[in-house]
Amino acid sequence: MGGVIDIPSFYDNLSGRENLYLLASLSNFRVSNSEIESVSSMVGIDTIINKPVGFYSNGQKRRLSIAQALLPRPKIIVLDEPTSGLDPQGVKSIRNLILQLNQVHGLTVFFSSHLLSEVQKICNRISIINKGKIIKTVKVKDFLFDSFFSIQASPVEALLSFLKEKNIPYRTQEKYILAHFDGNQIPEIIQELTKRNILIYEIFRHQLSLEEAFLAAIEGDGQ
Amino acid sequence: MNILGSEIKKIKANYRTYGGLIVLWGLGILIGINVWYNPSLLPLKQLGFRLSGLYIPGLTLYPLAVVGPVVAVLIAGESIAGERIKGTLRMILTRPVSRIRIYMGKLSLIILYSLFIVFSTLLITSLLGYILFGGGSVILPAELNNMSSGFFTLSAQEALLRLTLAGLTVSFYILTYASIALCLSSFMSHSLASPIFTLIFTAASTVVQNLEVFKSVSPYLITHHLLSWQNLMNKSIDRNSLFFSFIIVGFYFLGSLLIGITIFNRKDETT
Repeated sequence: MGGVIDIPSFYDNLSGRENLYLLASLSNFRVSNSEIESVSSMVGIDTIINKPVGFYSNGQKRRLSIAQALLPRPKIIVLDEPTSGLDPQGVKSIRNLILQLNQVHGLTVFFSSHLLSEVQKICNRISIINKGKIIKTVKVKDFLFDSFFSIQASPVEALLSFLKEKNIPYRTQEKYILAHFDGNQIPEIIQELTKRNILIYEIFRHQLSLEEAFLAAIEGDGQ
Repeated sequence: MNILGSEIKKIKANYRTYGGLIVLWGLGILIGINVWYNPSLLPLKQLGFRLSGLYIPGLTLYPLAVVGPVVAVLIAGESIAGERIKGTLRMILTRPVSRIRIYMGKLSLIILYSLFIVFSTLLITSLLGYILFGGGSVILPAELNNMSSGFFTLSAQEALLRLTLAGLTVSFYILTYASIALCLSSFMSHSLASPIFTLIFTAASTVVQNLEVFKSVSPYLITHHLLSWQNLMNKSIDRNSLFFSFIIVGFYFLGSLLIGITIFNRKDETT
């Protein structure tokens, strides 16, 4: 396993190559020149690897930090906020690099981020952490498309008390109640609402952004 | 060894390392040139004794004992605090290496650096002295600071041995200052804070040492032992006094080492 901290720092007076040697030696493994050539080429810094790190841009430093994580030939790499502090071009380039590591080199990339738009673009699976606890681990596709429903019903108070009673996470969004439940539960929920004389005007699957889904999940966890 | 190796790489790439060396070598060379240009400056020459080239490294021990600690403190003081500011300390801490080993690696480098600055300067000044005055035995006052105490002759071999021992004594003194700076560096977050505080401590210690009211405390202050190496140049070496100096300086060294390790081990470096 290899890892990258949120703000990677290197010795500015040493070249990228020397920094990689130094970090490898602190991890008690030896690296050959060809291994350094290989990882630096993999992350796209092979042309500057012999220059002092002081001359690197933030994006290049980020790539160097990913290179040091790749040196032990890991199957999994852990990245902490890999795109923080980068300009939009840098963000895109690191995003493409992460996707390439996964799709071309077969690495599993595990990363944490507050930039949910990036998470949505990169990840297959996500875990949501609230107050230090994982509250949900799910495929991004399922999370965004399958589990959120907009309901318009009357009286709203009765609908809300039903959702509370059933421990279904929800939040109000304009004239709709956005509820988070499994699609298979729809017939049962409709039946139950009808029994309680709650009039259903609309119920439809809601396509969320990851940010909306994240907030809904967090709020649901808080209830 | 890995940690020491990486510390050596870092110090080799730091321009401050060479700045200090150049100052010390330069002072040694200036002393040599000064004596060569005007040998009558040496009291022994005035007394009609032949000069040996070994006088030059001997004289260089004075600036080494005074400037050497400053040079080493600048390197040691930056060692942890500098890395903390740059963020490289966090990077190192992600490696599978304990904080004690990191600290000891930095201390090992400082030991090497202290020995290197002293012995490289002594070597350069010895060569310069040999070129300017040749070799041969050395004549010294029986008590180094007392010209009326009579004189004695040291063979070149014994003079070299005593010079080496004096070099080790000065190195230990420099190392102790560096260890104090490293200790302060373990919790400070500015690379110059530790050297500045170490130098303030030295100045304060020097003042206290010279105050009559603190006369009884004076032998326990590190600055009191600045010139303990001179004992090795006397006709009869006062072993008790030398041993006492080693104990006191050693106490400062071990104390700063233990405090430094304890603080560094506990300090939160994650934010």
